[in-house]
Amino acid sequence: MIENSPAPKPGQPHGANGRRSFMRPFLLGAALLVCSTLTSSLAQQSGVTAFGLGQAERAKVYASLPNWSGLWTPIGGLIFDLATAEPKGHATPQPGDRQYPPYNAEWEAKYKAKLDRSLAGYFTDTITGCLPHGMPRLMGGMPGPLEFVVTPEMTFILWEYGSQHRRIYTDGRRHLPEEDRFPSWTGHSIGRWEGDTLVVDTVGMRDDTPYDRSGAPHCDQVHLIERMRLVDKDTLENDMTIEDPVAFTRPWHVVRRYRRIPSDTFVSDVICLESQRSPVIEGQTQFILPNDPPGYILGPVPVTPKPK
Amino acid sequence: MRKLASAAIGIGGLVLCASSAVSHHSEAMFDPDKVVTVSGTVTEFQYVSPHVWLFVLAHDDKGAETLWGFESGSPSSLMRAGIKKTSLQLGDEVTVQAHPLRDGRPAGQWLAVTKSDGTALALRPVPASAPRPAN
Repeated sequence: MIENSPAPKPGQPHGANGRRSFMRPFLLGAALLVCSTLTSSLAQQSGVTAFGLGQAERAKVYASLPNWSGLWTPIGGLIFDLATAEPKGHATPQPGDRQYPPYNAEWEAKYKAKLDRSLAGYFTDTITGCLPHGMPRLMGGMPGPLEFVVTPEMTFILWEYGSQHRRIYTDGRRHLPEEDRFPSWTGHSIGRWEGDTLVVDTVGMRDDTPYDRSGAPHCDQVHLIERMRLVDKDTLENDMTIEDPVAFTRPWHVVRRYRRIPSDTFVSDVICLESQRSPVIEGQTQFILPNDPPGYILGPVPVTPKPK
Repeated sequence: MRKLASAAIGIGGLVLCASSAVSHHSEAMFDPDKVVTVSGTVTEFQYVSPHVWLFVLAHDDKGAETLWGFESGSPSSLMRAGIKKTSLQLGDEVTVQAHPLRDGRPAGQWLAVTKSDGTALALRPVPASAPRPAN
């Protein structure tokens, strides 16, 4: 996919190759002139647009981009992979709910341990402590509304919850060189347009953010390729291929869809720490009430899953 | 009439419909197979993130008071459901239907609130088999 295109390849270093240039000033000037003349056409050919275009030229690129404006909500509940979810139909994962990433034996055991702990009555979630959802969870384990802001040079995805956002650069930049990368909540995303499809390549995602509330783990070397496009005017599809060189035996293919909701739907922000009543204490999510006895700590609350 | 009642309701495969009211914590602390119906007086309506809270002082048939707390979604999710910060006032008489906490403390997950004038402030589906609140 992205590896075969003129767009940046994953793993390629950002910017110049580091060799010192000894070009004479006139050669440099000539090169810049040629570059500025060719930038837009080359950029459009390869599906990327460098920053700095003139307004008229930029408007032409803008006009070629699909209209993803307005508000969207994920379809089908907040377990990451709806196709392998067991059971189906839960809005959020309940204790015992799971999916089937292509884990190797070691990581399947890690996931199973989380599922067992949940069934034993410890229903924690990394976001309960008001940390961000992280990636790739944002794309399948995060409630809406969300918004896509498509511009020639980059696309933003904005979520109401936590005021979280992704930046997807379509300006032709590359990822940081591997030795300079560090894990972050949303990772580093570069993309390009293939017609009406935005192809996104993301690396550098933290390993302490599970795919969703079921606790499905991943390492910090995940390589995510997304292909986002409208399948009809009110349905946006994200076809994801997830490579995890530590946890998976093969790439995981997950398709999520988002439904357009009325653009005048009220949206604000949701800030978890504003009035946090559910800190995690002694490994358990608490639920603090005004009349709790002094020092009350909620212990395990075992849950018996319904027969499947 | 102020009363406190609880009903154990099997709700089978009820699917909560609302990404509009998703919690930042697991909902496993609530029992989805039970619905409590609590009638009383609003003492506080906290329209705050990440969860709006309603506190209701209820009396049982012997006159004993219990302060109940009901958690709902974010302020914006309530706005989208038509429930505004002015929708409930201190002193309002209400009947609340909620999934109760599993550990027995007087709190639950707000499903629906009915005011004394019959106004319904619904956030999540109430199982069809749950008793209707008396007005």
